[in-house]
Amino acid sequence: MKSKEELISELGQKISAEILKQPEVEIGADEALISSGLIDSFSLVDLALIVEHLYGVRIEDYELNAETFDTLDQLAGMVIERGA
Amino acid sequence: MTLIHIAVFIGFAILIRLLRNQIASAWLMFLSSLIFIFWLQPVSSIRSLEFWLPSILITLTVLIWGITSAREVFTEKDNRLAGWLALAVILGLSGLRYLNLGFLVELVNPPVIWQVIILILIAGSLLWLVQRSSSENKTPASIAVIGLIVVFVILKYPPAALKASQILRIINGQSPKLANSTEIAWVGYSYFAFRLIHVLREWQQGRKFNANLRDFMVYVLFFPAFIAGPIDRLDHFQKQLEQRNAQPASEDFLEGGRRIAHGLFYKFILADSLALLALNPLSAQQVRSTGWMWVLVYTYAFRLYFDFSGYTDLAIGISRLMGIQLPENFKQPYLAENLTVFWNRWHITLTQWFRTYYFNPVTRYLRTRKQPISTVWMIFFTQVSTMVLIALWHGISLNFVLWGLWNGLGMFAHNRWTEWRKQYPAEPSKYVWVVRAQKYISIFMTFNFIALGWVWFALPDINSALLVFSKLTGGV
Repeated sequence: MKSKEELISELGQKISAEILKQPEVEIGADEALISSGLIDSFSLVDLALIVEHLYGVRIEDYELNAETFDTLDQLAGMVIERGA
Repeated sequence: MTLIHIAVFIGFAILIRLLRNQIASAWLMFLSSLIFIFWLQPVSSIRSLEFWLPSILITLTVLIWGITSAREVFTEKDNRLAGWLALAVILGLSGLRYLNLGFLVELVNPPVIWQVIILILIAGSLLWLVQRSSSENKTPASIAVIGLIVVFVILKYPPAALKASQILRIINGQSPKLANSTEIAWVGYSYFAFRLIHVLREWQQGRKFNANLRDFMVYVLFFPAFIAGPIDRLDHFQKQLEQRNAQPASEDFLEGGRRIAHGLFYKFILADSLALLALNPLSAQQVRSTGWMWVLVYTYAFRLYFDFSGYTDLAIGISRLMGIQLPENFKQPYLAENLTVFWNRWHITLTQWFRTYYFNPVTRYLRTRKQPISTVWMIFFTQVSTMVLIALWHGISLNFVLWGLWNGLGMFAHNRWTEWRKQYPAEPSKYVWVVRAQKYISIFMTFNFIALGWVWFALPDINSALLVFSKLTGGV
């Protein structure tokens, strides 16, 4: 099982490369992803699919909002909680 | 909500918050919600409809709670008490027919008691069936979701509403010739449906809310938010109920009072004064000058904003008096720098609802199907169809379809523009005034696009809307 730090770094790289299409961008663990508009609503579904593909953890449609998770730290926490 | 409604609601909210006994306070919140929905439903020309519509909402709420709850909790003491009290409210109000209480009878207009007993027997048998069905069975929830949407379509599609009104008149022994498509004005229905579809869909996806019947009914029929939202989520609302005494009452009263004062000012002073000048079907025809037409269109945009956000302030403020914090619905939308941000700040809980129960599942489906479609087409389809659906929610007619297309296509164009700009990354200007000017120009353009879109929204007749556009551009 991966540590939270590993998950944060892996998810951050995936988001930069596959969603923002700007691999050089570094995302901080506590940087707002959704409420800041960094990830738009189309890419949010892609993010859910990436997480599902990488860790086998499903994020439901009703969880794709800033209240459920807004930072890499919170997202990684969710992945660990659901048993990655 | 009239000023009398607001004054009474404020009084009850304060009483609910001040009651020392927590259990009594929770039940008072429950009973006032159940009774106030009868008061909010206006008197109809179809006999006793103002009694039936709220009674059906109460009945459906109990049934859908049953569908989405573990069967063994049906017999728990508090749930049984809530069920019996709901029954007592319906029977008690129908008993008004037999008491000589003047205005109260006219307000509720109950039918003869045996008709009410038939409703209760039907509801009771359905609840009995639900209790005997397996809680693994998702079919009753699917039937409920479809049923809620079908009723919604009938209410919002004028030819269907007319037909429904004729049928109700025939059943009632009234003349079907006098039917019209606006007489079934079911107050609160669409927000009622939004809340219940949210619960049903998430329950179908395996979520357990574990709300008792009392709290569930307060969530669905909560009087401050009953007519026009905001649309809260059950899990959030449950937390609010649990923590409603976390802050000192004085803090809730101060903040609630501030929001109510703000809402009254927005809705009854600003919006109602602007309404005198705002675009309407008559002024669309009569005003000739280009300058005045722009004034009417801008005024309409501000009237709509002050009216709806003022209403939301009242709903949020009255709930806050009881210690309950509802979600925000407006965040300075007219200062948005692009359309996407605008729709994240205008009627927020509605757009979130459509995102969760339409946009996300459809995007997920399109992304994972075997024959993928291109990203551009996917964005086009999901964005435009979401905006058209949001538009149709306001009414199923051509002018709303055009308003939805206006926004959906506008957002798609903005999305493509942003994507295209990514190829030419530019550093922000080192001059502060250039950055500021760019920002203000973006706000100005976004506001104008939205304000022009409201023309479709304000005028049911397409030719009138076209005439307004022609006058705005200098034509007569």
